[in-house]
Amino acid sequence: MARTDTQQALEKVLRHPAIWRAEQVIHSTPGISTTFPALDQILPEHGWPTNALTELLVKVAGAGELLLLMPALRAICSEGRGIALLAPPYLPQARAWEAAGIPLERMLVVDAEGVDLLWAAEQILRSGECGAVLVWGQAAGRALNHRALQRLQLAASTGNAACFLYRSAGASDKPSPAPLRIRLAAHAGALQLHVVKCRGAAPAKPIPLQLFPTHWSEPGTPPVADVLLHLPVRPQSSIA
Amino acid sequence: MLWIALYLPQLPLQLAQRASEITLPCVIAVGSAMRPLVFCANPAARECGIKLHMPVAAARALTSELVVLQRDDAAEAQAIHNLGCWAYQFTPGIVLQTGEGLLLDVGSTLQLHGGIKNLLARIHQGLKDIGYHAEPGVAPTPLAAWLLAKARHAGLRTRMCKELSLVPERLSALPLWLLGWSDDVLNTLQILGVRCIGQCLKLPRDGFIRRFGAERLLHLDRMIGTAPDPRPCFTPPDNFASRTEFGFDVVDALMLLFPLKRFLQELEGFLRGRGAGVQEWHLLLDHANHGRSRITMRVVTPERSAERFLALARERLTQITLLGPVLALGIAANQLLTFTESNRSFIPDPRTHAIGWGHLVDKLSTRLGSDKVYRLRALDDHRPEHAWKQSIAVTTKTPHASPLRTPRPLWLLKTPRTLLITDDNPLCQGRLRMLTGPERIESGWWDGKLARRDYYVARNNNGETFWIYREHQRNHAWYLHGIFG
Repeated sequence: MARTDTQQALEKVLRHPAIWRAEQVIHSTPGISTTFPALDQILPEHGWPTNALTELLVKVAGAGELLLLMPALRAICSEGRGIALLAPPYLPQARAWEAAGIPLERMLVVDAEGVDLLWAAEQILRSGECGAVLVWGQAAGRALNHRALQRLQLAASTGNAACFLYRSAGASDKPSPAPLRIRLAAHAGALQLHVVKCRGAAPAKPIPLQLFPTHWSEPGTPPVADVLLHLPVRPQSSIA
Repeated sequence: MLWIALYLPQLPLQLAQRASEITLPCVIAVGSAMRPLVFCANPAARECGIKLHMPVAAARALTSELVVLQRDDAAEAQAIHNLGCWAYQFTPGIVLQTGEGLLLDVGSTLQLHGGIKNLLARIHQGLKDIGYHAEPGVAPTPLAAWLLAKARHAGLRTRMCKELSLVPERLSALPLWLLGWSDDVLNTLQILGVRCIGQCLKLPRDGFIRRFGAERLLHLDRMIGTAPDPRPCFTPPDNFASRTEFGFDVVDALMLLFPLKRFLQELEGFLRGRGAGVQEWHLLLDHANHGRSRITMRVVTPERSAERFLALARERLTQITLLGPVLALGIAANQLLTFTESNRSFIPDPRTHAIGWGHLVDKLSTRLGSDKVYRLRALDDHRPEHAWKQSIAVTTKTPHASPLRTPRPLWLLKTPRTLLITDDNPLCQGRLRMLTGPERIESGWWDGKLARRDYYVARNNNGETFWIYREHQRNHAWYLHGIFG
């Protein structure tokens, strides 16, 4: 009698949404493949989570932090869903995105800041029209607090959309409800991914990904005019 | 032929209450300014003992808090006109009865609306939504339908009549005053012992003509359908406008939503009748001391759903601050566009996707501003700053620009940033190392924005990859133009 009571109580505790059990990780919906085997292997969904908030903590801009997502964005567009860029720090160069395999009619750009930015992100996520929403958090300023992050995470899960939030690397110390947080840094021409948090055990070692053409990283290569970055790219990846 | 008469004897009162319900006793006054008479009274006024056609002075004596409003013929005519526009969704055969109501020829559209019962229920609910109440009468001739509606309003027992042969029988018990003839005719008939329409119909025709004139007999003949009764039909215009005045100053923008909902439903009915949608409509606010302000609402694709328009208007009204207290509210829509209704289906349809996408864009641009929500289009130009364009149209397929043969960064700076130089080497957060280049772009001599540049891909010590160029003609300065994100 007493044992069943304890069991019931235990089950009640385990039903708490904050508790993750090992089997849940296995049964979770498969993500969108990142197309980098080294990364897919480590992520619990074997790809980018499709209905959750993913934080990308960027130390420097221009290290390939967008190229990292390109294969997944292409896959989303080919499924017929759209993507949205919210408060991008620079102007998206239309021809480059097109060349990267993103149909421009499926790409929505929204300029907003502060509370409006978070509202727009939430609306787009909830609408289910976009498969991926890329948000640059700097424009949100102080409005991007823990509660706002929770709302984004909830909106992403209800709209079945992947929300990628770019934040500065300084935010990695602060707690966040995002199930996946990755810190990005550039090192020797490669993008270094430090998984700060993920469902299951986070790998201790950083994962380097070669996103740019290899000859870019080797100094002294003769300039080549026309065999350069022909996107879509299938970059080589390797585990350090 | 089957006609539905919609009789609105309480129209002046309903117009006064479109913006907000009046709970105090309220009467509508007509007649000379010296001695106005009560034309209609709301239930609260009738409870105080106010009767129709009594002098307003006498009514004021009965209750101290009486609201007296003047009858506005122009507003009533406009209201009947708008009702005609709204009712066009049910039938193309509409006859306006100025100041009193409408006649709808529904014989040809009964099947479409699933029978007379469904149609009447739909009309009743629709009228209620837009703030009106009408007494319906159904008969095969317009005059009989009108008579039945009036009888119903007078509280008499009536039944709808669908067969022409049944008309004399259904009308026979109704009193003669419903015919609206002059008092002396009615008196004469009463002296003759004729009290109801049935008796009147049995009178000898030649004697009736001699005594009361041929037009009265024609009236009766048209009523029972033995004489033709052609009516010119109403044609709705190509624009829509509706307006109402508040009896008080409105300071809270959200209070405008209640009458706005009614207007938008009226607009939806009109657009449904015309098989059209609108991309733009205006909210017109009359302020106490700032004249009139106009708020324009836009949507991406032609739309007519009142619910959606209202949701967008609510979003907008929470954003704005009113110029001053609002006295009157109106809406106007001028450009009707073809509207295609979307079918719901389980099979994914690219068109329904486009609609959902349009709704999302509308919602965002209503709050953020239409220039803040956009898509990009690639243009065929070698100069990066001219190779794109903002656009928002939903269906435009972007024309294929010629494929790129050289790398282009995903990010572009709107205005190139000048770079500092040390030892002939440009700096950008550290010393830059060239990875590829130069790629010469020399273009634009025809539009006066000549670009002569050598582009390089460069990386600094932090690992940031940039797209930089050097002016190859003027000052040989270095600029940052893009970032390989």
